[in-house]
Amino acid sequence: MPLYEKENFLEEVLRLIRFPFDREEIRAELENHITDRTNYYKEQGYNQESAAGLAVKNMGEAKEIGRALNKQHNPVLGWLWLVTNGLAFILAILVILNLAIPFLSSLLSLNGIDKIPASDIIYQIDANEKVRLDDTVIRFTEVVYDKDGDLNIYYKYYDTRLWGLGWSLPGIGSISDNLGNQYLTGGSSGNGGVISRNRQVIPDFAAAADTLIIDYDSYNRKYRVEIPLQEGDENEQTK
Amino acid sequence: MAEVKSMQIDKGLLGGSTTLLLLSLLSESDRYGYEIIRELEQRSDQTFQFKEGTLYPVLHKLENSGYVKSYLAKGDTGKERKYYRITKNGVQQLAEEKKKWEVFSVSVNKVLDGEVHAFV
Amino acid sequence: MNRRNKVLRNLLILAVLLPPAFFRSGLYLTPLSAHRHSERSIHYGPSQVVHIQDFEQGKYILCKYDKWISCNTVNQQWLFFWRFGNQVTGIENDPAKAVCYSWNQSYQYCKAYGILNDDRVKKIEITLSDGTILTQTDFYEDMFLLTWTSGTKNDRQNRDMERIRGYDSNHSVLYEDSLTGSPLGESQ
Repeated sequence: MPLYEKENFLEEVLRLIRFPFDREEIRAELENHITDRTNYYKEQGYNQESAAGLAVKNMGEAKEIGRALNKQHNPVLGWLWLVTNGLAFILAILVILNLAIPFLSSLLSLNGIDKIPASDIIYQIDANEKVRLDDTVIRFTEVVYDKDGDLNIYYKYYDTRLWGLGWSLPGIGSISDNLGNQYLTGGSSGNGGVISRNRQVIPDFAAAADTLIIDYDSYNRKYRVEIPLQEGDENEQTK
Repeated sequence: MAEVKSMQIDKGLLGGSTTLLLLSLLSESDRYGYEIIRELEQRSDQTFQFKEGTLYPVLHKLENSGYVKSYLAKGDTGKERKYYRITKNGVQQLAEEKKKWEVFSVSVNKVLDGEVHAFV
Repeated sequence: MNRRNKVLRNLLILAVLLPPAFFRSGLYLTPLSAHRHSERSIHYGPSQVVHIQDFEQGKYILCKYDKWISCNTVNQQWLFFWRFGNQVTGIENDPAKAVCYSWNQSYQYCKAYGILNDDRVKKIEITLSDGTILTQTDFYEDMFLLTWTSGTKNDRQNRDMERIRGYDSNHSVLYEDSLTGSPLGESQ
């Protein structure tokens, strides 16, 4: 009987709590209180049944308590809380996986593209030429001439717009030298990060050329970059 | 046989001083619901006896207002309970309520003492 | 933090994280927005849009830019959003030819588009490798666009474009071109 009194009381209270996810916690709190009061009466000499009955009576009117509690557990606020919790959590995960990690790793990856071993380098020029195509900034950083006669053009590019994913750069332009040679481009590789680091290989580049000319002229966008290639002891990499 | 007095915790003699009493108790230490009831009983020599369940809507309202914060913790008996702790806002509110209470009780006493103020 | 403050905190998180997440998602709110960004990103345009046409995956956007013509694609995503498609850049127009055109295929979606440099051309007719004939007489300004599918995603048929003809009002052939090779480019 007393067990049912407690259960009845709790049930009556909880029935009036409209936001279902708070019921468990409310039940626990009220039940603990009733148990404590029951123990109090038992210490006073009552038997379990009577003690429990008194304890429940002491609580007061279930409906009144339920109504008052319900006012403090607004279901609209409750659902809003649950939904925004879920959304914020999912969004945080998505942002970490899709933005933060790739961004950090592209900043940290020093050279996603293969470095040419020093023993293969005939000469290496540090360039610092910057050009701009629409919202893309391209910076030519290095030119390395290797023992296979290939000229390797290293460059970085990034998008100055904040939003959107963009197309990767189709090509840096047509390649020629001061001697009038026109070159076909060879392979190119890049790490495709937020700041994309790339290398364009120009096979069979003239060893005697002293200026590299990169000419971009496409769909009314133009730039021309000339990089002096100084051969000489200063630039020769010896073993 | 103990009697259950029918004073409700948020009505009767308590009236608007419920917040004051609860915040005051919690400013001393963190407590859970039953503890608060027992403390009120003992300190008031059983004057304050309540429909104990009505304490909880008040506590939850205090939490909604930001005056207290609840957390779960295991007491001495190892049982996990919901404790309440007063917040900074609560401490501020307590100070305000104390002031209001003092003003109130001084005014009541003045009336009861029948003081007359002469008008110039 | 009480519940109300938690909700406000969550809304703040959403307000802070949603814009970059959305902006870096490659999703756009309108087809034209996706189109313009796609063109600019690939360093083409900005084109003048001549005609927009729906297809299963999104929209075809028929354009002119300076001496080039193009038919860009934008793809629909999740009902409300748009992404870059392919075939963004165009071909150079040769005013000496009565008709300048291009055709391409992406999965099973095929399209042929072009510009009529000779305004005597009143009808465009293309013939596909399976014998189908598609025509257009109602042009978009001075451009045409014909679309067709070659089977389904998993069951492709060969329906390459083999011939194009431009007729005048008397049904004389003003322009003709035969193709035997493969289409001008799969998806970019």
